[in-house]
Amino acid sequence: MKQSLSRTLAAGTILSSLLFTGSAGAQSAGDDLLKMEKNAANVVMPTNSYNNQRYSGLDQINTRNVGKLQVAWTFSTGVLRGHEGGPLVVGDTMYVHTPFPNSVFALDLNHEGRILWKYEPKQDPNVIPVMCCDTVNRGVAYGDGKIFLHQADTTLVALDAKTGAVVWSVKTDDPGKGATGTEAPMVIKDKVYVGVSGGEFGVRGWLAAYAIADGKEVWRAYSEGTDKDLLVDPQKTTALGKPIGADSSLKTWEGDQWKIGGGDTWGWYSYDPQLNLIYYGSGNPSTWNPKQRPGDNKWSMTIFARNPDTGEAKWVYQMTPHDEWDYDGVNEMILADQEMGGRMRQLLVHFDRNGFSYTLDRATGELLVAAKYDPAVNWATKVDMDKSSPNYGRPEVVAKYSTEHTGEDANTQGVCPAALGTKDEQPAAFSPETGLFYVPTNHVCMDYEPFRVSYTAGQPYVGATLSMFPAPGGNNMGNFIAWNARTGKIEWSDPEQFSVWSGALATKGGVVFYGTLEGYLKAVDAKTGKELYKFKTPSGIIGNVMTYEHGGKQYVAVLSGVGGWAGIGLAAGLTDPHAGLGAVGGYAALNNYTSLGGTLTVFALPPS
Amino acid sequence: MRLQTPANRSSPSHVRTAPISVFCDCAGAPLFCQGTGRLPADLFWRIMKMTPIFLRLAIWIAVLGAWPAFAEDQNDYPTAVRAEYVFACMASNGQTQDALRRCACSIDTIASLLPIESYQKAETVLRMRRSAGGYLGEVFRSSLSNTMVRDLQEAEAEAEIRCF
Repeated sequence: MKQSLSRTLAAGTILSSLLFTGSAGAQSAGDDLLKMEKNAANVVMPTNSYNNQRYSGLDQINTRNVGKLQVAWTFSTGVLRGHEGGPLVVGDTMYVHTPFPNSVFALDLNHEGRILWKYEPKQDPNVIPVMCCDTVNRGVAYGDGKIFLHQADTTLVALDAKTGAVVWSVKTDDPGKGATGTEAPMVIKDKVYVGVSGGEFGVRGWLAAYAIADGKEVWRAYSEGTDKDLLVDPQKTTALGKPIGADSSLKTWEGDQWKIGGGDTWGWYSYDPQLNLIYYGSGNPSTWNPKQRPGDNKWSMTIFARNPDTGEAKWVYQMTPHDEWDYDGVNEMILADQEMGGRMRQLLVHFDRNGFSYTLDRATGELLVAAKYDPAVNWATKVDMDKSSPNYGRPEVVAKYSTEHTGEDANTQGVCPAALGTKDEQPAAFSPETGLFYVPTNHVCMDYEPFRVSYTAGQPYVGATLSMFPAPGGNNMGNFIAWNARTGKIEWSDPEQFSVWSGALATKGGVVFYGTLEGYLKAVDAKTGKELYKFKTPSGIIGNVMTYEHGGKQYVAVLSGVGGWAGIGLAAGLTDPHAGLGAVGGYAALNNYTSLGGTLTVFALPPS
Repeated sequence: MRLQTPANRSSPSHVRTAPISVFCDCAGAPLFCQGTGRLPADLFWRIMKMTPIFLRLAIWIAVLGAWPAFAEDQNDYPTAVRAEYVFACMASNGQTQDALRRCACSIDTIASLLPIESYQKAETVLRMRRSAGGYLGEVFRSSLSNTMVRDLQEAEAEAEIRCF
């Protein structure tokens, strides 16, 4: 059915897709993915697998031979700026995405990455200034013979995986008010799931499900608002084991501030097929000035577990009530089954921007562990784990680092972590072999001064001035750590000069990979953290490392490209238009040269 | 012909003293390189010719013994790093033989003054300042980041004096 469907689409028209895509055919997409994700040769989703473990069963490249890795081939995306996420591999085809303008390339792995097709949407460049943090995109999803892309301008588009032809496209929100698409969609069964960015513009967050057959919206669940908007059942939906009750969100906002309350959903999604739950987190409440929005601001900064068919929330947990530091809760939820307290538990492990790592029972939402994964974290002493306490599950905030306490137009100094968190969206990995989580982290602190701001649609709604600096006691701004989620302890930590903004990959070969802002792809021993290999790619790495197998050979691939080609750093000063004679012409010449910007570097072992 | 703008502004008195290089300022093959260093290769050979045979052996032993320390002093940058710099420099200063010579001299001077790690740190900071959006770029404007960039700017100022 799937085969014939793809051919139909390749041949054709939207009409034919509407005619031939019965629910049975669409239903098979998710089931296919469940089978396909088990095949380690492929990477069929941007999270590697539904459980977000970012673990590959490939072991041709292992601790003994990883030192011999060589560049097999490279591919230039032709786009500058930050390249987040990573490519997909489905059979003989690799799908590579880029930052704005959000091009998608299909590359033929049988011919060293020859371009099969390219899709480049025409988007209004006015969307660029409303993207808070670079014009990034975290990847495309595959399902039902289609490639799904959520563009910067919030157009969700389905492309024919074979031809790149647009099968359908739908607008999910309004970039005019600051809503943008940056996250990677996820396909489950017959639906594709997307969220939205825009917390710095007061955009109210949502997660929505669209039918993969025709792009029809099936449900949309907001992070804030009425129970109907939230898709919750006040009696059945729980928070830490108790029903959330009626109007759980409305009660925690002043007036109708929730309408511009943020809680955006630009992170990663994970899915448990047995429990039939989709998991994700919501971001910071808007504005960044906490004084301006009294209350807990529910359900910003929250882990959601929803039924993917209906959208109804089974449980929620708010990690940072009434955020005062921009600690978005969007980071990935890693689903792993581990033994705890003498029995196997279905765990959800989440490394939050707020510097705490949370281990929960993913079936019930019970909080099992909440521990700092960087000793520098100081805004809270701990999370209250006493079930009888009225503050159960809440962080114990330190007054000195509370921007609410210090107040408006006053500078709260030395808060750790900084707004970008102990870890941002760059996903961690989990190895079932070692039972450890491998986490790229920031080791950066901040001064934070909130100020009053008024809301205008489409204008920044930030309300705080920040400065950032390395955590006290050292010069390193990042660490790559191995974390035990059962005990809440760091097993080993590799200091990095700069924050690690690249997603990690764990492999059966006992090797863990990540990238650095200097542009190094690094391979370390999963057991000890010992560096086994490093290679300098053409630019800084904020993409996620992935591995696949083709023609019986294992490859490792990563996108580099933050600020483009490495030499541009020097060239920037060199070509300052105000620098003097010759520089202006030079600037144009250099731009031509550096349009080679983002690069996919693919590694393999030399022929033996 | 202009190199790095900030470096142009910094006064030569702030320039750190270069490590003393015995033969010339070119890194990589110090004994054989041509150029305008303090003690060029041809001078070395001239001295060697004037030296009695038994002393020449002693000089060779001394030179080769000092080689590893030398290589370290010279901060041997990968060729790709040097080539990349020359590409950028020529894009700005012209696709000419003259620019090639000056740009090559410039990166060789930088390499003789700055360990590769420091060079890459500064490069990363400059790149991230240019590109990291919004508050993500904030940490690259901290005083630690400024220090990293200053090291490079000082080396570039020295390169400017020697090569341009």
